Amino acid sequence: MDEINLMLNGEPVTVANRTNVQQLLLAQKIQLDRVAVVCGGDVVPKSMWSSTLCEEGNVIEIFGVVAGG
Amino acid sequence: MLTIADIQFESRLFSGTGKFCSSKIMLAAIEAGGSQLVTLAMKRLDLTAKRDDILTPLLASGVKLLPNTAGARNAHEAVMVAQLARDVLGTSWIKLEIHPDPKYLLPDPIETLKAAQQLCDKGFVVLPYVHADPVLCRRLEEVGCAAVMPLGSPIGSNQGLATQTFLKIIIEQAKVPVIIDAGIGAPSQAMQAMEMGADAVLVNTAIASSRDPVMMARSFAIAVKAGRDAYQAGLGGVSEHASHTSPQTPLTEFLE
Repeated sequence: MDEINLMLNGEPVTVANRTNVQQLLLAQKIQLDRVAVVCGGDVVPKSMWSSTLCEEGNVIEIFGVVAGG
Repeated sequence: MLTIADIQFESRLFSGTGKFCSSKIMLAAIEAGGSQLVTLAMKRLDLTAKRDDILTPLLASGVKLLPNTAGARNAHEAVMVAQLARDVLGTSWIKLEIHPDPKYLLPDPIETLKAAQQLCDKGFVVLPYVHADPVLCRRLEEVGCAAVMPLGSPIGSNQGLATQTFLKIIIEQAKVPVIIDAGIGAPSQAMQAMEMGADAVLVNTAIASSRDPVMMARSFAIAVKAGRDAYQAGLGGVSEHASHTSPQTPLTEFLE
């Protein structure tokens, strides 16, 4: 299998097999120091991004900081 | 000076960053009000939209950031949002807020206490937003919260200190700082909270939705300072009857 399918913030995304979380974020042109990641309901800490591989069917959510009270 | 956990604050006016018509005005208002602690929220990104970076200028301004867990409907979600915020911002400070009902935005006390316990155990500095419930505030203090943030009235309502009677009890018995959050709609109300002995107030809507947020932030800063000074000076007692402030000898007595 060369490619895998993910759900990224509610949208289907296809990436190369063995893509890690950090590569996924970079491919989406996301500024790495401005986001946090949840995969399958669990927080993936920054320190784990380059060692966490995306898997077929993963549901990945990217969160950022916004204004709030 | 106010100390929360191990951080000292000169200003007792904390600010929210929501509802401003632009980031520029928000930043100018925070600077004018002199807040050293400002709140932020976490949100799932819309990857297709252009993102407004409020973080870079806030970090550059040197204020301490207090992310909140708004949007969390239960303890599990709140703990996750706190972990996300810590991962992005590198701070273990979290304003814990769980209000599942979108109409009244009132905090869920049971989920809040549950989440507070878990977050304290994980080493977070927890500042819970709660109803003005003195019993709950004590329980939150017991599980290790660094402060309590009881509401004056519903979020964004500008109704002021509708819960005054209970805020007084909370202030009287708290051993951690009490920050009056939500509903403060005018500088006079912030001043009243400070006169009562609150350690700080958190203001967002009243500043952001005013005609001139920069001037309003400045007004709040003055009111908070005046209220604190008045509290420290010690207010005189209230009496049902008149009590003279001048000599009571009739001026014409010598003629008699």
